[in-house]
Amino acid sequence: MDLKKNNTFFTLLINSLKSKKGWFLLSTTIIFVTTMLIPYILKADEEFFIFFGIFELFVLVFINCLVDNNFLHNDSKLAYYKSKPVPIRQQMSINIVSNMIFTTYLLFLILLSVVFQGLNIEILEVFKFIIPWLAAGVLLVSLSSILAGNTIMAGAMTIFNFCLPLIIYLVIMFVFSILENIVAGFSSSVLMEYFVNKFYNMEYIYFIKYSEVPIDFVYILLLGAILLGITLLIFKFLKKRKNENTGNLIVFDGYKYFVSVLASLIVPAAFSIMSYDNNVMNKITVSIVMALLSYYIIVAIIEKTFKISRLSLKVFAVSFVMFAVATGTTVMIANQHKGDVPDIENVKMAYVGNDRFVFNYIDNLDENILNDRGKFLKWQKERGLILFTEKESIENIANLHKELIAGLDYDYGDYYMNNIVISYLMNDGSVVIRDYKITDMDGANNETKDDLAYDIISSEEMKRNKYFYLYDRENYNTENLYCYVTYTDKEGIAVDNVDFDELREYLIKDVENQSMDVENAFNSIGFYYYDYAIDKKFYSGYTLQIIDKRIQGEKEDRGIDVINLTGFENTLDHLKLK
Amino acid sequence: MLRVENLSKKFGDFKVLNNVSINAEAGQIYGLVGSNGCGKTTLLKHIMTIYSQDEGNIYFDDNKVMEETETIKDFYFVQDSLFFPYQYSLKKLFLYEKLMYKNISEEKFNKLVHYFNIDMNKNLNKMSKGQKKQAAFVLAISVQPKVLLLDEIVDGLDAVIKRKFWDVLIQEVMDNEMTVIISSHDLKELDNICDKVGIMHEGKILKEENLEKMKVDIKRVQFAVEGEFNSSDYSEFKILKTLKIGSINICTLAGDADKFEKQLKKDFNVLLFDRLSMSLEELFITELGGAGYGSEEK
Repeated sequence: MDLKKNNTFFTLLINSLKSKKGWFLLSTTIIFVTTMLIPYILKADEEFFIFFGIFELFVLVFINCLVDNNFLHNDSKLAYYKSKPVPIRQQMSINIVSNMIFTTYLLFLILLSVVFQGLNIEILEVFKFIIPWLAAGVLLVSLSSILAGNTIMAGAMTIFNFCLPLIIYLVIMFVFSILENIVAGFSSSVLMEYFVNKFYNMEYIYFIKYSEVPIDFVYILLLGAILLGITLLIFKFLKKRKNENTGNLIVFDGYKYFVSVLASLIVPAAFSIMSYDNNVMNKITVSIVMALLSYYIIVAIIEKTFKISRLSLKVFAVSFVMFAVATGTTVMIANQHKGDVPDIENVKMAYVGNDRFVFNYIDNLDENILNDRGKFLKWQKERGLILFTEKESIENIANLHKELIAGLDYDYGDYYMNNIVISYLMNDGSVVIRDYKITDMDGANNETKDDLAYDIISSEEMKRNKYFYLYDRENYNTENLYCYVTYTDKEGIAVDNVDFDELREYLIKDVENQSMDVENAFNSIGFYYYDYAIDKKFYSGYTLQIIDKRIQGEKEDRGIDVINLTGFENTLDHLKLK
Repeated sequence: MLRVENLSKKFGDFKVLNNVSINAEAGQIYGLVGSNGCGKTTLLKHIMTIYSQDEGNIYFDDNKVMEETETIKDFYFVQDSLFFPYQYSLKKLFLYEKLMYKNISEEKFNKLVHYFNIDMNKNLNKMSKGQKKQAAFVLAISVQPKVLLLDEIVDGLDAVIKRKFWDVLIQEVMDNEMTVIISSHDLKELDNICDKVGIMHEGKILKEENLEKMKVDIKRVQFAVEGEFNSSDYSEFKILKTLKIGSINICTLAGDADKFEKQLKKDFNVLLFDRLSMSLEELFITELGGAGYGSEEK
């Protein structure tokens, strides 16, 4: 019996492929003309035409799959195929397999074009995500055709289903953006980054990651799971399909509302994420109105009537409650941690500034750099950030953190810095990140924040980290460094070939005596390298350029630091520039 | 035998099939007649498992008819709104169906193509409605199914072709013990060929009976009597309908016509008494009239 079934499958598959003769011929012609003939005649950018050919491949496969499955969208066609002794499941499988063969043939044509054009085979790296997209796409067209009762809707639903992970991502981001506005210190970007890295990595879900890295076991496993999942859904929904609903835009009521609810969240989610209005109530009200309006429009289109049914309203109400509960729960959980400041004994490193992802960089950092203090400080210098490791500095940061929990008002004056990030790398490897949106309020009492910020930016550790090359006599000396002085408003070099070893002590003295501006200390926290409070007259006077001779490349790339010498009295004396 | 038991189906809130039961014997032609939109096509689609029922079961020779079972593979459905694959000729379609139907007969196919004089190389979608029906019928018969469902098959055919249809069909039923269910509006046609009839109305089977028995059960008489005839005095004879044209009374009754005649003769001086034959169409109108169909006021 099984043998007979297989025979029927293969004979029908061959029949299906034969009936695609026209498609094969048309596609071959299109791919040949656009990826070989036109670039050959025009002597144009062959890579562009290859990518254009890949785009055509997607369109051809998409249309072909929709045409093959459109029997599900017409009563008499469906009755014809459904009344045949070959189960509809088998007929769908034949369509899928024949479309996979068709897709493979088109991919082969593209490969042939790449070889013919003599292009770098690396261009085919994109195949590593294109193949999963096509395979999933062929299955998704079948699934969407089952779910939809109309071919155009099936096409639209294929795109919707393909983008479903992205839509869910957007909805989660929406929840986090609400949280960000309600609970101080929580950033939607930080939460999304954490969530995406840990549980919902879009680069993996869409296989984009593999354009950079080789195919591994995870790739095979993920691709297998996705294809198997869609296949199971195809068979499940095919069995449950109410064929009498053929002709409706969507055949399944459950799916209809699933699409409507999710789609209705896209507009308010995008609005909420993009809006900079800090008024939470305004944002929530506008989001609800937008969601309701979007839902009404979507349901009206799907049900082909402007009269919204009670069931549709009930579904919206239930979905709204579920969304509110999910958001509320997230807010409640976050609220419990709103006032948390880590015990400094458990903190390995701390950061204050405006970069949310400082410790993400460390995660990906080469062990060589991480374990070599000199290299690590240079790495920090290149990024304009300072990571504090001394207990005193960490305590200073924790104190500022507590002050921010107490209140976010600050009178910025001319330079509004919007947000301050405080993050801790804990001894156990975990990371605590808080992102505070500072409220710029005229007349706010700045004193405490400025004092606490001053403690941080004037600390010995800050200076030692910022001017690390002054203290590392072994690696940074006259032999390795080329130093010269320029004057901001004049061209040319004021003093050339400064002996760094001779200058070092004067520089250290000046750095340690460097005067800080307490009044602007908090403001400078958000500036690159906290420079705002230190170098107010940065753009005038003498500047010392320090170049590392050991680094290859352009002069600009070799620079270790540029020090504005305003206030560096000892150094200027030594250089006879006073 | 094909047996449908208590089949019910709702399309949304609308009950399109309401506890439908029919029994179609092997070697018989079953006529499924009913008002427009009464659920005939829906019932046939349920038998073919194109639609799935909310309640009830369908059996063929005591095997439950379900999707993806061996039983359903011996069924063939010719629908009213015919569909043929794109750019298929009858010959190509035959070859395609040959891949699926194990009993399909090429010899029978060729004979029927010749009998109906069909151009088997012509694109099916370019044929007239009548030609398409003939092509679909030829294929159906060539497949030699155990159960053949024909939905409005003779609709739009000329008298000669209809006659050919029935000749072929009757011959097939006799030769192969096939179970045939035909739904049709053309009751005059079914009158001549059906063994059994199911009358459907608003999703229900109003009556299912052997056609000859139905004709015996429901009779029409015309008579003239001296004096005024009042049908309410004769309720024991189950008078379904009365009509008076001049002095002639025409009654449709389900009771015994002989006893009715005797009773009349006892009560009146009967001037005239004749038994009239009833066609399927008249039976249909009588049954549906009883169910309130067609008796609405203008």
